[in-house]
Amino acid sequence: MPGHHHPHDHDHDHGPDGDISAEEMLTSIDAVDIGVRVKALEELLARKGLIDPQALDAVVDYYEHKVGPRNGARVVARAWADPAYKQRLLTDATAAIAELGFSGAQGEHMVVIENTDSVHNLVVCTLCSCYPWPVLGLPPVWYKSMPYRSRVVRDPRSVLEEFGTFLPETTEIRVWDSNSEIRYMILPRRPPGTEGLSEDALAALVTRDSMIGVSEALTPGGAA
Amino acid sequence: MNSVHDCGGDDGFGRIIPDGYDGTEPVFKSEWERRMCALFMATIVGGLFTDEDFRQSRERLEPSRYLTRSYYEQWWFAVARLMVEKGVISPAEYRAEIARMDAGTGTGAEARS
Amino acid sequence: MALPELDAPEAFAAPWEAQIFAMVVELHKSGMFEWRDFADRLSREIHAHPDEAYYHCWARAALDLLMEMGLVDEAELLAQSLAVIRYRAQDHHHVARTTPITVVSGRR
Repeated sequence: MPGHHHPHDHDHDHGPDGDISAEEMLTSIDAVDIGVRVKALEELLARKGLIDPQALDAVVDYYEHKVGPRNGARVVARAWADPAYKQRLLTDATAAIAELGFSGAQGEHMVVIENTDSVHNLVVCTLCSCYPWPVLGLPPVWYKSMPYRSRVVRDPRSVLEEFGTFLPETTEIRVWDSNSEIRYMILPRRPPGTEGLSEDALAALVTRDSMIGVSEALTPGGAA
Repeated sequence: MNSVHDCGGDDGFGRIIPDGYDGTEPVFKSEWERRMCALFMATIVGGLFTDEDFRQSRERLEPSRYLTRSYYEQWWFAVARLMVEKGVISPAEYRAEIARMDAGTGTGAEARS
Repeated sequence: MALPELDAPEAFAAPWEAQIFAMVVELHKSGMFEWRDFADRLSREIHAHPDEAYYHCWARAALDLLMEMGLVDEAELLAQSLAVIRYRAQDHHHVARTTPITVVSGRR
């Protein structure tokens, strides 16, 4: 490699106190083990009194164990069982979801789109990872990945097929782009053979992926 | 900002899900991912930056890193940059903290100068 | 006055240079002013600021002329400039989309 790396050569990059710039700092430590980088940042901020490590554990525990797609499944099951609720859900999703006790960060402006026999819907966030936390929890890796974000808006049918979802050729497919202003969730079609099932039994058929729209709800006692 | 993150419609990124995908996966794949997520939530709720700040910081990640670093490592880049640019921490003290930690654990990883 | 070599790759150093160039030429073509009125101002700017980039002079000459003619109001220009700066500062594509980003029709 020609020359030698001198991060201190560029005076214009320096902060006011002669320190290096944020960009230079990131570059100078980005080969350090990521666990060390994260831990050091946490300790530095904790020492300054800006964060409380104990509180951090509680917050993450909440999103890891208490919030997740089971919340969304309850919403879907209620909508399948109660036509009046379904109407409210499709009219004002944020309020209807709050009726079941689910609300909070990243779920402030919800819109629920209904799958029908003729139109299948799915959700992406093309730019990053916007996702309705209160009903679905934190997003799966594939939802945040470049392969999904890039392809689903160009060729959604092939994406559905990769997830094992084969729709009739006559079905129209619509892709909805979630973002920080509006977050979408899909109301899957109610599977056949579920007449008379309790809401709990119905909720058990609702998968996370069916509420993103890449698959359909499960059928009782069998594969989706 | 218009950069590599604006990838809708781009070709060539390949398969979406790993072989054997069964519709589930752990929320975090390692302890540092869990801590990074927590750190993000604590700093944004604490008002150290806004949602807009965070997104823009992540989108400023240069394309070669954006495409090759994992999701939560991108969060680290975004939050660490904001903490410095907003004057919450200085590069010198952060690098010193990392050096101190490395000396303690003996991982051998150290900041390049 | 000779026009620049428009096909040369170095004709314009930045998009804004091409934009201010095209605006002046088009306004002249539509009869808003005599070319001489603009050329005199450009010449004065270049002589007053010999070290400055050509299109900085061009842009100042153009604004000078347009404001004198009453086609551009200084206060409005300032307000518009500030709005552009504010927009740029938070320029991102995260806008609420209330219609699908993609629709693939079913085959009939």
